[in-house]
Amino acid sequence: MADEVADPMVGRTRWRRFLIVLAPAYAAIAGLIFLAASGTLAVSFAVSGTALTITADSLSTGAADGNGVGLYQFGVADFAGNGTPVPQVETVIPNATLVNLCQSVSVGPVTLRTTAGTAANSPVTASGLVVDATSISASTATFKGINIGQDMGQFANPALTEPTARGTGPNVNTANVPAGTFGQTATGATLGGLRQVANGQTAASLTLPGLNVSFGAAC
Amino acid sequence: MIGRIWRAWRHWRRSRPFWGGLLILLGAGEILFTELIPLRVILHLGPEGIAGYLLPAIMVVCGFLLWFHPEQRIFYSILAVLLSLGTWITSNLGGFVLGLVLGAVGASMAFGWQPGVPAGRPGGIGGWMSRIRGRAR
Repeated sequence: MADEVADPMVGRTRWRRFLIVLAPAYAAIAGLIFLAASGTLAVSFAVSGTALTITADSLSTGAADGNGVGLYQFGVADFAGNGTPVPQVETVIPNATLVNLCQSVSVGPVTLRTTAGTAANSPVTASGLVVDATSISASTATFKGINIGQDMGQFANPALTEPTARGTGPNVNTANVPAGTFGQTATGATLGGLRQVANGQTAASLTLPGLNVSFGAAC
Repeated sequence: MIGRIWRAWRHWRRSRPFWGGLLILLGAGEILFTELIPLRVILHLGPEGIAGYLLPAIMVVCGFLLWFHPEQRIFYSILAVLLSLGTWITSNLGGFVLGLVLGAVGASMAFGWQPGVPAGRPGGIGGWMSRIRGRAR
């Protein structure tokens, strides 16, 4: 012990100095949560899990993308950790509005539940929504300009991509969807009572009015 | 022999903002863990998706730099607290809040760390634990 007293390098955390940074950080966290929950601040999401469930009372597509499409749906094969292909239905929605969105992710015994847009007049808005799901169900569905049996390889603005093989680590080799891959597109769609069991979901930008993150039951 | 290794390890720990750096690394790891998505979708998304990985990755760098280059701890810890706050926007609400809180607390602890200490009163979680152990004895 005596040798440590003489050592000038040994130090410790000064709790008063600790508060100098933590207090403003705490205020900033509170501000960020407030801005997100009031729907002012858009956040971005990228989740994958074996038990990711997404439900919404309704989903309506918004403005179409450069291809003039509001919703794409086609089959892809994602690759599991050991390289096994897992068939998925990939839904790509450039712009969407969701009422009463609920997402739950299970990590071990803990289930984390995120809800937002519970009030019908302040829904969740999403852009660049991509969901890879093993099951999709909806109680009502209305499609506008639906085109079933669409060649997904013909789009260029933007082109659709799909995984071709598992790369190193989390990386996945991708390529543009080849010509002759069939799927369906719609210029617009409204789905009610949506329920998806997904392996992955990303959203470039999400506004989440009435945000609530809590531990609890799955959606 | 084991005693000497333990003492060297304890000295290494106490001579840098070890616990602050560790909490930053745990927070960044938790955020990355919530994002284990196949990267192809991220490439699909472009810059916003990449940022979701970039911010926690730089947090990891800050955590290690706090350990191996503690002289610049003020800069690294302030950078780490700003990155932690940024993950709220870019990375699943900061790994569903948990990683964000770990990162912010860890960075604040690293900021509060200073060399020079009264004997027998090491700081951080280690000092706190040894004080509890001392009381139990």
